[in-house]
Amino acid sequence: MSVTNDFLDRFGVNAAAATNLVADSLKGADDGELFCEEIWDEAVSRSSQPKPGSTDLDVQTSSSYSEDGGFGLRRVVDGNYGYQFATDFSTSAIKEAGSNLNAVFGVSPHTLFPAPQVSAQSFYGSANPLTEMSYEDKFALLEQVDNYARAQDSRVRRVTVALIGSMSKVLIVRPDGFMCEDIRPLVQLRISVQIEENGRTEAGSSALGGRTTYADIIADVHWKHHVGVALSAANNMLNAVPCPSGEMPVVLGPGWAGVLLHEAIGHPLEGDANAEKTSNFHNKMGQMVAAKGVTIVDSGMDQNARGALNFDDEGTATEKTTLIEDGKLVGLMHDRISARKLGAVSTGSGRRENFRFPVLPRMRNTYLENGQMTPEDIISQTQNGVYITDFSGGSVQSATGQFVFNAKFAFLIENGKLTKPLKGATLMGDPYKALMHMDMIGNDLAYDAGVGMCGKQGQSLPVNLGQPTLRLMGGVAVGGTA
Amino acid sequence: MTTSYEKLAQQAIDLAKKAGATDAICHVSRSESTETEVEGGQLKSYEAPREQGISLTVFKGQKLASVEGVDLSVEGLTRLADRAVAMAEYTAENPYAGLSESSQWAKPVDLGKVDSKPLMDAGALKALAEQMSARASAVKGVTKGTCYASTSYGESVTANSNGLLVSGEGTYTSLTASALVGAGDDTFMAYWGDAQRYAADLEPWESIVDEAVRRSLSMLGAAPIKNPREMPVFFDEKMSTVLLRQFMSGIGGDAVFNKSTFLKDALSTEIFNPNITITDDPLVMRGLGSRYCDSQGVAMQKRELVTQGVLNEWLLTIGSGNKLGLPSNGFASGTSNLTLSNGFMTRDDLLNVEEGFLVTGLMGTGANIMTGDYSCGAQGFLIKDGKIDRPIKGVTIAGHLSDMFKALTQADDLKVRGATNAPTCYVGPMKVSAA
Repeated sequence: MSVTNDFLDRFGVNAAAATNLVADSLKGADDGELFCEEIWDEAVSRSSQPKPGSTDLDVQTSSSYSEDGGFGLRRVVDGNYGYQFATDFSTSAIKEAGSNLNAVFGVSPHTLFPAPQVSAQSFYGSANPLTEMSYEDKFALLEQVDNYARAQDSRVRRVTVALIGSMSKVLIVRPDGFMCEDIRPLVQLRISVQIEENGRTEAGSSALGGRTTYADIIADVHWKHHVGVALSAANNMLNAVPCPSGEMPVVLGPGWAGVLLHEAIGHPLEGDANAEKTSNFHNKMGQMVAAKGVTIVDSGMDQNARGALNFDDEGTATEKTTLIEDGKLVGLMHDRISARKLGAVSTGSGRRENFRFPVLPRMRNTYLENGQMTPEDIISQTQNGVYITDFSGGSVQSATGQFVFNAKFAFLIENGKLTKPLKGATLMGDPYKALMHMDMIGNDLAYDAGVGMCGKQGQSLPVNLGQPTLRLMGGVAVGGTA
Repeated sequence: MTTSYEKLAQQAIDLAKKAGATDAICHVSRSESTETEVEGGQLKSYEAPREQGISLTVFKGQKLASVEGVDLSVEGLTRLADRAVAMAEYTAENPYAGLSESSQWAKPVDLGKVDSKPLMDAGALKALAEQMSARASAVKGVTKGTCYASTSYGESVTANSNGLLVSGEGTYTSLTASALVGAGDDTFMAYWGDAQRYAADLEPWESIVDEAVRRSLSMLGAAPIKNPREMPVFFDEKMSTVLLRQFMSGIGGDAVFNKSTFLKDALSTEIFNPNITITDDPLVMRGLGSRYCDSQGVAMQKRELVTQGVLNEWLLTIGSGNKLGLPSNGFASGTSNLTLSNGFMTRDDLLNVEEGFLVTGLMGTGANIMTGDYSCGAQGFLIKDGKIDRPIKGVTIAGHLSDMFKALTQADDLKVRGATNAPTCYVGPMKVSAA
């Protein structure tokens, strides 16, 4: 298998010597690999606000850059693992890691698990965003966004805009001679605004990005839209009334509201939680776990998506994995360890934040497939309830799956119409009940704008998520301050 | 090792100056850890991080830029320094940024941050985690005990072009236990742990396991409350520290300057009741948060941030201090060992209400520091006539942080276990809503 010599040269070895080194270092293991990575990150940002007692703007900018890299060696023995990493590119450091791991995790009763097929998929380009734009152009863009936001609304007090780019280069070497290499770009433009009215301040934010180059996200048609989203979020908060409490119909808007599905249904369908029986779904394979019409998938194959990967961090080609099909639980997301524990095959879901971390089964782009209804019909057929299109955050208890989400963008539904914006709305429930009570699904599937970050066991990863408009008729409770 | 890092840091500053920087500040650090996880008696994972890195901020007059790297060779340092100086050219003048000067520096103080005994090796940590897991799993009703034992060592050097040169090192050992109990919807997993600079200072492993098990089992049978209503709400010591951290995020200098905190006009006013004093003490021997200066080299000292309910100062760095026209008070690395003062009532007396809610777990991101609005998912225990009545889950508590701070009343059960500590607290009447 051919890879470029970039990494091998750093270690001063050829491909055959690299394989031998990894085979020696992982002798007696039944799985594992050497994961090498180099990461380049940059960010430029601009924030502006009036100088105290003046209308003149105080503008601050910042510029940062980082180079990171090293290797992680993973020794898998009978479903358990040892992991050593170093910010280093020397064969001696790999050898030291190998003998250290060998001393803790000895010889496996199993032979080496077969290597994955090398993937020839390509869902993103290999152009380096960090060499794409001059610093003059970057700061000019930030200024343009800032000026535009201020021109839209005279109450804007503070604007913060940031352009962030990174590129990571990975090489995976297995003891059996398997090698693969990938280049993974990632860019993002973030916008946040603060509006002040009668001494009260409220903030709103929005962002866009993906596994692509800056050119794809800096067209003004994109950022003007996101400035609008940020402004209307802040404006809604200024006019919001306290949210009522109790069990009531909840309509979730398209796109980012899918974070609820990601947290409450995605995480419990990751292989490790099921192998360890800590997921409420662990004994429900093949059973109806959701209302009919509910189909949820997780895909690593969406072109230029933030969660797209040509292969995962164990070298397995990514795929589109169907998790729930027409209400029935049909699949889980697996890395190689969880797949073996449950007698399944890896779904290409083994991911790590970077070379500092061992692999875990993780989501890529998780979304609910379209239904039949128009979003307008869903709202007009809901007598009274709340409509939520954005959450500021939330959390899920791993043992029970019980979730709590804080709504950022919510409206009251009265007599089938959206009326007042709401503040202080929390949504709480149990994923199992929520899925069963999903009685209306729209035909307006939308994805988030490419900024999702997923956390698990201290590892943060870029993901996408999405959904059409949907209604939860029970199974969730709204907690408000009214 | 530290001597060579001191040289590296100074070298990076020299390289930045050679590339055209007028000033620079540099951090170099290295760490290594051993971490074990045992589940149901079996070693599930063993991790051994080995890390080193450098960060460098350069000034060209009042223009600045920051870079980071892991390549500490001369070529690596030169590449980073050149890049930083080139980047600084394009940023706007920042009139607030600056470096610490000798008048702000501290004399080195030995705070006992290094456990002189050799670090426990992987075998010893594994054996300890195995014992813990076995003890948890042996309790009736516990499905699985997962326990963690880890230890780490780190050293760092900070230098700036005014001649600052500070080096430090520290050790850290932690034990954590979790117990999975129950089945189906009635499943709980609580964690309990302790972390210390010295292994000998750790809470006995048996009591860590027992507390995790007790916390998990006590939640079995938890249900929401039926009718939403207002009732007195109490935070246990862990949740009180969460509230204390939220208060800290509201008094940062940058947040005040940016008007992104509801406390922006609160300096010298009574935010809490007069029984409340909040102290940050960086000079505690062996303290988890101990350090004699912050990451900008500014000397730290014991400070009463809140005295008898009145806010005395913002948390300032050189930059945020300049924005507000104040000198840095040494909070560039955040708070150190932070304590909410002990109360005068026993916990039983504090909880002696007809009906109330003792919160032992919070969920969600419901504290809005900009507006003070508060709405969080919560679990804990219903209190009836001063006694624990039953476990509660699936409720939200809602109110406003300024009301919670005003109502805050502590019990006398303060224990110092981490870097941030608080006793059990009453946080006022709050709206408790149910599923």
